[in-house]
Amino acid sequence: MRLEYIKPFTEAAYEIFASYIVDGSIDVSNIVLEDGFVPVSGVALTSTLSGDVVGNIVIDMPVDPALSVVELMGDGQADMSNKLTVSTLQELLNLIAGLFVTKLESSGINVNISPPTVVYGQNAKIFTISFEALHIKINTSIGGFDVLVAIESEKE
Amino acid sequence: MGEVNSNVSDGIGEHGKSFRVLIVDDSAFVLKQLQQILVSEQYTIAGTAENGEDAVKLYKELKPDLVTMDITMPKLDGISALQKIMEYDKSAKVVVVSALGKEDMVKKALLAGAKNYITKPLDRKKVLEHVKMVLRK
Repeated sequence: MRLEYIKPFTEAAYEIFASYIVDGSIDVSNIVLEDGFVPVSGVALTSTLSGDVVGNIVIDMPVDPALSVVELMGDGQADMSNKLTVSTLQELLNLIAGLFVTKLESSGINVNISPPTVVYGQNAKIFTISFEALHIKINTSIGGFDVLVAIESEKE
Repeated sequence: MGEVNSNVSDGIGEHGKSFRVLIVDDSAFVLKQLQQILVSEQYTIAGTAENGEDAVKLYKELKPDLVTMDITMPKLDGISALQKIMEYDKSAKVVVVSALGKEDMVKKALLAGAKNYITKPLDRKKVLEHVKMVLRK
């Protein structure tokens, strides 16, 4: 995990969350490296990166913050059994990953992202492609989000 | 002297008819957002597609005035679908809408024939400006 990936990712995550959670309560903190598996705490969003950099991005959150962010992004009542709710969560990760990839391009790093997957449930674990992941805690007024970025350069 | 009606919505053309738009995106959330934005200015949603393959089929059936096209989609991606649409109809008006704002992606889309490129998250004003700009040319 190279340090040059950390800033563009945390900036992308902050900017996208801030565009929906507008009360200024977003705090991006506790950036640590740890084992790359995620115990799903309710809802997890995952996307794969390919190109000059390969790996996974996972955003994990309890159900309540997931439903809250969906309601902030859309205008209806969120419900995990509803296709639109799931699609909205996919779009949240798509936006963060898309902005991250756009920022990487300015450093000459060319990356593509897969359509996001949503995992809903408890007692599940998601394993990332690498066993070293950057773990970022995002605290907001609607709840906490755990983000894991497990990526490696293909060029190394 | 007659008064110019400045209250006409963006979605109504000079002929008094509503412009017809085909929206292509694999996200139900984005489909809904774009529909809401366009319908609010009286555009007509001619149809929607969730992948590039259906987009090409629907373009040929519906012959919309404009297409909004996502890039990352299953079955056939947006750039490939755009290329097929342009092969079928050189005058097709396609606006790419994507979370990917990479310069090489924008260039690829424009070289493939896209008339404009909108980066997500969607801003209502920007979407309407870009769509209006393309349709008025």
